[in-house]
Amino acid sequence: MTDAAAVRVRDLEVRYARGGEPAVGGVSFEASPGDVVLLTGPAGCGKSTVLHALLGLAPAAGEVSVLGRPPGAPDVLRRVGYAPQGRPVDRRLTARETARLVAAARGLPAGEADAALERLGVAQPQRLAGRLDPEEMRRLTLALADMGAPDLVVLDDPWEMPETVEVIDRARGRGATVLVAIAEPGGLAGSATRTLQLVGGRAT
Amino acid sequence: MLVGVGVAAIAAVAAFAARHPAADRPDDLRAGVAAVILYGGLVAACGLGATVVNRPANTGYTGLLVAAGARRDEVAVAALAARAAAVAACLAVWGAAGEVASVALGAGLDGPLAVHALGSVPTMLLSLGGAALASAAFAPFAAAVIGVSIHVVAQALVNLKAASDAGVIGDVAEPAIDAAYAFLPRVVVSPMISRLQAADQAPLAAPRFEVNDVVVTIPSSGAFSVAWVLVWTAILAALAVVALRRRPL
Repeated sequence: MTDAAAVRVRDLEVRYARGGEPAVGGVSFEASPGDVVLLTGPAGCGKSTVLHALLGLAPAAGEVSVLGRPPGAPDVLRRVGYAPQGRPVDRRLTARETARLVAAARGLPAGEADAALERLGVAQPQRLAGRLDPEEMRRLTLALADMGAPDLVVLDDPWEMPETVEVIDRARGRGATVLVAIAEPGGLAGSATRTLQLVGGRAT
Repeated sequence: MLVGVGVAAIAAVAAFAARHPAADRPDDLRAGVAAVILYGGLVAACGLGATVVNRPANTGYTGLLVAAGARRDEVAVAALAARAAAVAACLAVWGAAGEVASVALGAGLDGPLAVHALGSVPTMLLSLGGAALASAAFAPFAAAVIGVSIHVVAQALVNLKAASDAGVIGDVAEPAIDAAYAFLPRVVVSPMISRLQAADQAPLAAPRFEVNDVVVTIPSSGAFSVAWVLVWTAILAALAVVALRRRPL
């Protein structure tokens, strides 16, 4: 492993309950600036859990560093663009308000959020985020990951759409690292520099 | 929506009170508004408290903010403060609606009712804090039930203490009741609700309390009790912040 790695993971283990079975175990990989790493595998294999561990959202054991710091350090997370799966929004906020709030958490001006929404084609930023149709929701989460030119882009179960490839290519172009959790590489295979297959919480 | 339902209920209570003799109207209105404040306040406090911690990052708003670099402490404090303000606003609106109804009934502004609405704030914030702490470990519905349970226990302690002081509980149990009352959270009882309870005029908000066929009057709370409830609320809120700091999102 090199010190230049943006993400270093060795023997990562995640246990949600003390003494319980690990959700993820023995996962090791490294990603350098400019790398696009796909974490693939069937639903429930631990792809999202690995990403959560890197972001400090899940308890991580093993050697893990993200942009040179332990996972979850707020100053590092402000350099990370994260597109979660699902619908992680406050139903009372509009898409624009959601993006601006995330921008504020990352120390970015509101204009960065507005520009990202426009860039990713969020057609109705004034709509309540909880009422966006699924495609608009994916565009919103991509905008969250794309705003502010982050050093690490983390995409959890993105749709295979041109905008996803654009976000990945834009990140690579500026030398950022990209981690993508997705069941099958599909149309994103061409963007990947490496693929890590997960089965039952372990890398194969 | 809950605020509107409460206001509508108070309007209905006022309409019902208007059909009674003028001398009875103020207490009829107070009893109805007290019921709205109690049950509506519990719904607001426990419902809002139970969602302080949104659990998985896949679906949880808290995880999204933390993953963007927001400090967990700040997210938790902001979530608690916003919800506490919302609960206080609910009680303020219902209290104000009660005042408007009182004026409409020709009784003028109702000072005891205003004091009761104000005194209900610490009690509801206690349940909010309990539900918030529980939300770190339990799903929202279970966390809300725990918030309600804290209120029930706090009310039971006040009732038992009153019964103990009235000498209608055996000597064996009195030390345990006194100790529990001294250390555990309690509800705030306003002078208005104490009087209505003694007169059995607020069956929904303050039902008659009997022990061994002896009617027990619940005295109104002093300043220390109000401060004690606020201390417990602060403890529960602080524990909720610590819980959010430690738990997976």
